[in-house]
Amino acid sequence: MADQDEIMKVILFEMNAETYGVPVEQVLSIEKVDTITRLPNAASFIEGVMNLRGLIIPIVDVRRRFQMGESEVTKESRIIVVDVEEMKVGLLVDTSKEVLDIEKGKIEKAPEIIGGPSATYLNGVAQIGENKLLLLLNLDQVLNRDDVAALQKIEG
Amino acid sequence: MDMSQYLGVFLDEAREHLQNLNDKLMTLEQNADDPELINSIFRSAHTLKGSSGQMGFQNMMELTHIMENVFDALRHQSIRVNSEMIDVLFEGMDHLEAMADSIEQSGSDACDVAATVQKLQAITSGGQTNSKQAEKKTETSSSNASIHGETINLTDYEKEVISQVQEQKMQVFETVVVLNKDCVLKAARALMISNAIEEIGTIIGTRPSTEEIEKEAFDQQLGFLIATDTEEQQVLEKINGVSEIAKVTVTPITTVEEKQPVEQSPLAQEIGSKKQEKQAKAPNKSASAHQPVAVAKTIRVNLDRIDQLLNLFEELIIDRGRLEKIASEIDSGDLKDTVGTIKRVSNQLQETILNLRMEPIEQVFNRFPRMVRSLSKELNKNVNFVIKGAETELDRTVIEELGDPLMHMIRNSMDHGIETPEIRIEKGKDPQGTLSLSAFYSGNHVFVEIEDDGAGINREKVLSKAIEKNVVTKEAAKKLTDKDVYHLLFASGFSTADKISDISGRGVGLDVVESKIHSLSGTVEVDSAPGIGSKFTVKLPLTLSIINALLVQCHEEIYAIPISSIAETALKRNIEMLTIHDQDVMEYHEQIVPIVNLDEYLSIRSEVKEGSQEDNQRGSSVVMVHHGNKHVALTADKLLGYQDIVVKPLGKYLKNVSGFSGATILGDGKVALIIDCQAIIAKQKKKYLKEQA
Repeated sequence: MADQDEIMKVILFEMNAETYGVPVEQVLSIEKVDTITRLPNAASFIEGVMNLRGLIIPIVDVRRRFQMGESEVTKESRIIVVDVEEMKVGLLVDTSKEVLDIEKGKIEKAPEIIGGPSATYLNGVAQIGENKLLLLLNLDQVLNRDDVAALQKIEG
Repeated sequence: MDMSQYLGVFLDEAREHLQNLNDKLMTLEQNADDPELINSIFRSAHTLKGSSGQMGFQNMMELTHIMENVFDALRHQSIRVNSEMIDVLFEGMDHLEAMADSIEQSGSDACDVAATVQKLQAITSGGQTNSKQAEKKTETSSSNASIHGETINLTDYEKEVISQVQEQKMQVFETVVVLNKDCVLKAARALMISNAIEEIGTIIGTRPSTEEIEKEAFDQQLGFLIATDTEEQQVLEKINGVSEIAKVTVTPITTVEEKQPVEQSPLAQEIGSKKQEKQAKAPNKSASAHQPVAVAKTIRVNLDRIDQLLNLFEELIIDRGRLEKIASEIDSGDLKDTVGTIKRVSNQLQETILNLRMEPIEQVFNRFPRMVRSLSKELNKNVNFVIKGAETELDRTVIEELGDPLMHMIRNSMDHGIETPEIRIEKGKDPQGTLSLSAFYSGNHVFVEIEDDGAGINREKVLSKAIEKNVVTKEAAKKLTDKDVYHLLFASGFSTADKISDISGRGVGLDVVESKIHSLSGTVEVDSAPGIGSKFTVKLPLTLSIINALLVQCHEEIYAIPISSIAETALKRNIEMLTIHDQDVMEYHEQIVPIVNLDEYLSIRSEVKEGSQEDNQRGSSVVMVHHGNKHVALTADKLLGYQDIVVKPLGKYLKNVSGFSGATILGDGKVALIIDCQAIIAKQKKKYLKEQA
């Protein structure tokens, strides 16, 4: 394929000692955690809403989204503000430090990972260094609103 | 030349002309003989044709051109207005509107209009207008035939010029020249005659048109309208100086009937100009002179810029809140004064900015007369549609969203409300039903009412349907007031029409109306009297973005309650609490009102020990909120005071979260949610109905 060598820029973040990535084009900014206002009656993985320079953005706890437990806000915690289908959403993650270039050719289809997000939420995996695997998130699926609605029904 | 930069302006103007055409066509049907009306229609069509041609939208230009021919024929009374004709013209309008939309979206005006074009051409061919010439020369179609009668039918343009010329103390002569039968170069001869006339005066108009004369498209007779300051005799002599003329008659035109009051237009001065070609262009100039002179100067501003201005202002408001807080903490007279001034100025600024976003509700109302007209035809109903208060102004965002709900309500009134003429006569009513759409201000709200004098709402029918569809239980139904019953019409999955008609049974009904209006922070109410009619009242806030709200504290969390929802506030120790079916209630204005603990409603986790001082403060304040005539008392820990807040949407992602109408940013930069009182009341009602069942 022609785009085998094409380079993709990915923002990396960590959760449960796993490395995740989102394409840089979908990321607006990376923020430190400010006061998050709890949003009653919302799905449990919605941490709340935050003031991002005059804009109200919902904050999603990625860990809870994938039913991997609950995030603890620490000094290292970051909010990755993404823009998907004209929705601006903040993702609460353990830490985020790096931007990485990966060749598209190295991305493989995502296998089912035990204890991690199901393959529907992933665009693929890539080997980055020895024994280190990068999980590329499919934000369209992660922030799928039909999914959210369904979850709310179950919980409500 | 790259026209894309003008596209926005072109579309804006095209839409204005289309709207004007739409309005005027409606009036034309009732008022077929008003020449000013037809002229206005013609001018709009003409301008639209010109600008679409300039922008290179061939399809649009051609269709407008063919419609213009119809208007031109109407202008010259060679055809008469009838209902079918208006239908066809509206069909053409629909195509033009579709073209404008598609130009906006895809830059192309492609549209299949062959059928409409054919129908339009059939109309004009009924008259005697030759479309090709009518396009180029507006005076053309007053036919040659009229000359044979030796009087020239004056066009409005000519009448206007004549009256202006007469004001300048010049004379106008109607001159008919008959050429010799064996005259060969008729066009050249005609040119000689007109040259001769121009030496002593100015030609206002010719019969036939100059172009037709140039093409020798006439027999022996030529007609000229001449403005001159010489006498009848001199004109006669001058023309007779040209050879090969059989006969010349010169008759002065003294008065022009239907003289139109027109300001001294540049046209009257142009009379002195000797260029004949100018005359072909002149009608357009006179057209612009006719249009009402705009009193206020306006500029077009991109909406994005106004939104940006509002956003910046919102940030200012947030900081103003912060300043006020600081000023109250620091005891400084100067600071307080300055903050006071800032507050006053920013209040005025707010009003000004919000006014920028206000537009007359006319924009929405305008599309209904046509809809009512075609619906009346479809339903065989005779409806007099009245619009009142179209000048009422509302926030632009509200206006944009208001169209659909109003449409549904009007359709509903047309379909279920107003009876057919036969039934109306049977009931002793005027066979023509009246449907009125009105808008007016009251307080901080705008009301829109849709009132019909139809059959009214049948309480029993609505109730039995509601029970059948499980919207209410039989028990609960008995206790409902008439208003409550009527309101059931807005419940989802509800339609009282026995058969699903094309009009109101399109799968979306009044339930969509209510949710839409709620999303605009408005309410809708129904009132009805059997046999007399029904009235739908929509109440909308003047503006959505900045509201006054009460901030309340529950534990550590702060929430905002819009002042428009608040009836009263009180301290809990001053009220008498009762308990019915495990529900705390209180008496308020002879009503039993449920008490809702905000802590519970908002599922706030309490970490305070029971019996501690903080615990005693719990829910010590009561806020009585209402929606329509329904009340609920909310308990909170502390009332923090009233404040202007900027309403920010929660966004698409949280669309499914209910209970909040938005959020705001407080002085300290934190986010506070705005409580949707209507949701609380609805939840209480549901709970109540469940218990009843």
